[in-house]
Amino acid sequence: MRRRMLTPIVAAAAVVAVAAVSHGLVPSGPPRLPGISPLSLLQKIGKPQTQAVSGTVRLNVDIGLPHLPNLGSGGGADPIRLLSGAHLVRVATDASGPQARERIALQDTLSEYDLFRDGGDLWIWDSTHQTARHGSVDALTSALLSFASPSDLAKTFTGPTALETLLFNTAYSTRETTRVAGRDCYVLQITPRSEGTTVGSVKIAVDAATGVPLSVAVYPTGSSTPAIQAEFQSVSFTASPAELRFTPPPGAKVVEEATPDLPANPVQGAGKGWTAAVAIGGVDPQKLIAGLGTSHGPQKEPQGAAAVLAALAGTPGTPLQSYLRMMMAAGQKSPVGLVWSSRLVSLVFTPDQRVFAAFATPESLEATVAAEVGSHS
Amino acid sequence: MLAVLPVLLGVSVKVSGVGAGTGTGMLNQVAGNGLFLVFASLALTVPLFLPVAVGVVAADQVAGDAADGTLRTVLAWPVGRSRLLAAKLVAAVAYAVAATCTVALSALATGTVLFPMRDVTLLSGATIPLASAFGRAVLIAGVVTCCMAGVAVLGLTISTLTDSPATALAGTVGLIVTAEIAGSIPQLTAVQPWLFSFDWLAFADLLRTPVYWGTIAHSLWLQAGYAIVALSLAWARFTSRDLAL
Repeated sequence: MRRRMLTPIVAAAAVVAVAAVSHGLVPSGPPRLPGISPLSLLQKIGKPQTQAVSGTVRLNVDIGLPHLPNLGSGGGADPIRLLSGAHLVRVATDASGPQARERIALQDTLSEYDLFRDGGDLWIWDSTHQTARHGSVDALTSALLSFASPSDLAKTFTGPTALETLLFNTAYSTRETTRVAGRDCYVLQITPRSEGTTVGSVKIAVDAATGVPLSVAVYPTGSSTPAIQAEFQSVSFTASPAELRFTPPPGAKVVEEATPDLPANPVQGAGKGWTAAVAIGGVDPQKLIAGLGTSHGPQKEPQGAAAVLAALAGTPGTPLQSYLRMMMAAGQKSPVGLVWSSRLVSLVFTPDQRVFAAFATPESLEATVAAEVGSHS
Repeated sequence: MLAVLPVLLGVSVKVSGVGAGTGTGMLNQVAGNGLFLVFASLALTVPLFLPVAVGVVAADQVAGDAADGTLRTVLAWPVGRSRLLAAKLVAAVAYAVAATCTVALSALATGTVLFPMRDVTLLSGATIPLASAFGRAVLIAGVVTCCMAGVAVLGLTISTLTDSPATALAGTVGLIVTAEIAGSIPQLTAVQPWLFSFDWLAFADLLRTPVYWGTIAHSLWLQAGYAIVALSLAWARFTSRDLAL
């Protein structure tokens, strides 16, 4: 009896051991690579040795928001969900043709939200509502989706504009190496040397052979867990043309988006260096939240148990709407607008329907916004 | 009962006219394409209905015999206990296969009768011909079957641990419900990927372009891991237990 009972214990131990080894819970040691200076590595990122990249990215976002609700009719893949939680994102880019092509797909349980870009031609596909939007994408969605791709996210910290403004108040180091998606990578560690920013450090894993960033992790000041981490689970340096092509499927609703009624470039910068803010025009939080419930046909009044729950919660609408209302209610009123902050990002919603976002403390961002608004009036 | 559910689903979609842009998700597409009734029925039954049906039958395999007193008779046959357990395992897994196929085939039949069958629009927005969509439907049924076979093994193991069918049944259903609840608590995200119920809906990855195998592979390995541990426990318990009935 006793001897027999050893079998399941041994089996359990073996299964756990296999799982731990195969999932990299047991560290296998960093790869040995020839040394590289931070400047050479930055140049390597700027000139990747491949035209095409495709793969699946695991994105973890924990900027201090509670996890978004995933229940009820508000379910389905949606870029606004990228504000928190873990996501699988399929990324494919190909710059070899006459026009750069790109696909970013948020793969949620039983649903998908895709962006296809072919030069200037743009399609948004939403499987939950079987809707294809053609022509343009709002600045907020565009900004959210850019967080999902390690290459785009890395550009925030290593692109030409970033280098110009950050170079002199930043420390760069390339001492570490690591392995991402089975590829040997250099790690570029970027540490801000300026007051007022919420970024403690940024770690970018760069494929040693091609110079493509395969993982980006943004650590808030004084924290050892990243607030944003985008990392390839699997990567290949080819992209299938079929995957990058989109034609609206038969039976789907096709919406031709009018050119948005916004300034030519709704995204503008304000301030300089690490505390620089990005301003997105034409954002009215109340309208945005209300729009989530109404853009897909008239919203039905909740009935039965749902009505009771809605009454108890005191906030009618989809769970997502209630959630965003709650988030807005947590904001602080200030002379420049409604200020909202988390462990990484601060936001200011100004009365002229702009939202300023920065990796900065709320005080620093308020000062930036005050200077920006002051200079234009 | 398992066969009735897809029919009920299909008829209700047909009658209520869901799909004219009012509903969301997969049900939205059922009205336009009967094959989606297969995917929608599986998506609807996999989280609770199907595993409970499979688990209940598996949980009765040994404990039921023990309670009826037939287990002693059966053990008196000149058949080794290991072989007997293997036979019970085959029976439980066969039921899991049959249950999944029942849902899928009933949904297919209902879908064919009530709705048009045409080329399938995948989650990614690409359209594939009906023939290859059938291939994917078969693969999906296969993946779901593997997950349900995992439940059958767990049920069988619990069944060997007790002599009372009621205890085995409550234990199995309790285990499934507990795993599902734990899977929906946001604070438990670190543990969730290791719950046997975590990736039950991973089969939807077969409806993407390109097919993403990562989650499905994780799900199947996970089922295998649970099955190995559970089976070794069942074997140790069943071959060594003293049946003083």
